[in-house]
Amino acid sequence: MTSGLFVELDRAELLDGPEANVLAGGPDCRVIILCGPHDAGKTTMLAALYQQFCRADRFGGYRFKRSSTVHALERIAYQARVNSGEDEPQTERTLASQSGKYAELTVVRDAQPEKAVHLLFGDWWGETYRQVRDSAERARNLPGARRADHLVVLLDGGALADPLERQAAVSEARQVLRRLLEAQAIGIQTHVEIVVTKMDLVRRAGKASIDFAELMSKELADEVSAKVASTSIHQVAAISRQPGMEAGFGLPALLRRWVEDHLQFPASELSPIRVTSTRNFDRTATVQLR
Amino acid sequence: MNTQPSSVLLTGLPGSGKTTFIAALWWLVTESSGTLALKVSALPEDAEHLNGIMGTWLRLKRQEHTSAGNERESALSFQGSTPGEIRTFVVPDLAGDNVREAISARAWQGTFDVLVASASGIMLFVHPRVIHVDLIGDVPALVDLAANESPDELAEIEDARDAMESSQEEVPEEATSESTPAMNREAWSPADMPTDAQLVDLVQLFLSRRVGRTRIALIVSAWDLIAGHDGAEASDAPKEWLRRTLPLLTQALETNADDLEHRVYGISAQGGDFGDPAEVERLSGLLRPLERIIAIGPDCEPHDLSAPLKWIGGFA
Repeated sequence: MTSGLFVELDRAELLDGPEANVLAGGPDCRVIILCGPHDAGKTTMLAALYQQFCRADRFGGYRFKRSSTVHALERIAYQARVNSGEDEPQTERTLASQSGKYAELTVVRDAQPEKAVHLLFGDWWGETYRQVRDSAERARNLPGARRADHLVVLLDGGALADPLERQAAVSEARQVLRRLLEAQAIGIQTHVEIVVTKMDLVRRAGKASIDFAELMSKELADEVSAKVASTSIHQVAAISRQPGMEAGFGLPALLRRWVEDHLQFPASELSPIRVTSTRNFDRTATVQLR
Repeated sequence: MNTQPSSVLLTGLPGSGKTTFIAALWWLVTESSGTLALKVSALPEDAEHLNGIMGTWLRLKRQEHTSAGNERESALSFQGSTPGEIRTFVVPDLAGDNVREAISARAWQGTFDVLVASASGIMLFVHPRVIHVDLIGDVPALVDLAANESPDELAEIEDARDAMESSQEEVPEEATSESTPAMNREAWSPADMPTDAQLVDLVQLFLSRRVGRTRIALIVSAWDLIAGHDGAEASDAPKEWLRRTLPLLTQALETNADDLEHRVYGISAQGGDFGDPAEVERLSGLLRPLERIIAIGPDCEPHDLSAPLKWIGGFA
């Protein structure tokens, strides 16, 4: 049993564009782009979401079905675990070199177990986020933007809790959203979620910070609501250090939003998507993420 | 009469109890007079390995660790309950180390791949004492079996816990800065994954190499650690244990019904801890080896290790 050639097996790392396209071309796939400044908590939030399915055999009305990126999810979860005792958990750089790649999590509804929904997570992290703010050209050429079903704009709760940082954090998010709209990188096909991360830090900072986070989230959502499919506001604490706020706070509502709020656009309406083959099988496999 | 050889893949991470299962099964199907789902119709041409591990099992000694160098396979011809229903199963005794290596390297040997693709079904072994749990915000830990452990076993678990906790404590403060990637940026390896994720990864790999719907019997070995020595629990107790202990695997098994059918069994082939003198004395005092064996699960008589094979093989 020990001789013979080796057979290569499926990778379990992040999907590159062509690999993600195979899933993204299907009707039950949600492309979710997480964007925010460096250390806003994007990958920590993704790690915490995945880990909810490791804590119990269902989460928020959904069940894990499979993931072709188990190693990638475990890697970022490991990073989050290592850093979970710190005031500023850092998992962002783990994916720093992975821009344009996607993590995949396939779930089923508790009440509809036969129907799988694929969640493809991409991210525009720190430097890209700043470039989008500063450059129209960069906003027009973001990987995955026009195919995104959901754009998740993260407001760093750590910054919102800091009187010297909070205005800049909101301004940056506002400019990024405006850039993306003007560049038509997002539009009526895109659901936008405004997410305040590290809500435990916001609460710990007191009522003024809580009120500020709520007001600014609402303002940002209102500013874009007429130009996108829908907007919603969320508060999450992927790793909570606040008594009375459990780890994973806010994630069930966010997961429900990603799974259930979905517009089924014909491919022709998503103009930047190129179909490079006429065969049905290949059409699915070669829809291009831009 | 169906005499076409088929195979069943016995697999799992290292130390999950595969060899002990085969040893006890061999004794059971050849020597026991009890009511069994399956019996051996004829002795195999070569029974040296089976008799060797059975002798170790009968003498209440630990099985030698199955490594890449001492893997064996045995062909067993089983007689079902229907007259003339005979099938030959190839039962390989494979090293769990190879499975763990495959998870990391994303490759396995061609011979193993043939077995994965062609097997009638899969028996996936899990040992409750070597389950690694590691969640955000929690201290990494082995599943707590303290209530059922002997002092020696408790010490082993404590040592394992200490090792994991100290590895966390050893993270230098500067490791979180951009300039120090070594410890917590680069050190992760697939071998560090919690058992739950490793087994999900493994099941996904198996399914990716197979065509059609796969029967998977999840074998929770050393069931006496969980159920106590009498093993008197409901047939769905192993399934509920799995749900509590390995929730990700439970979901993967339950939500992929298009691709797989699964059952969960609690098996104690060894009967107790051979490292505990009191246990050895208790086990050696039993009149028949059959009394050491616990088997719990669907359509499973109390001592019948052959029930999972019967189900996988599709015997009537």
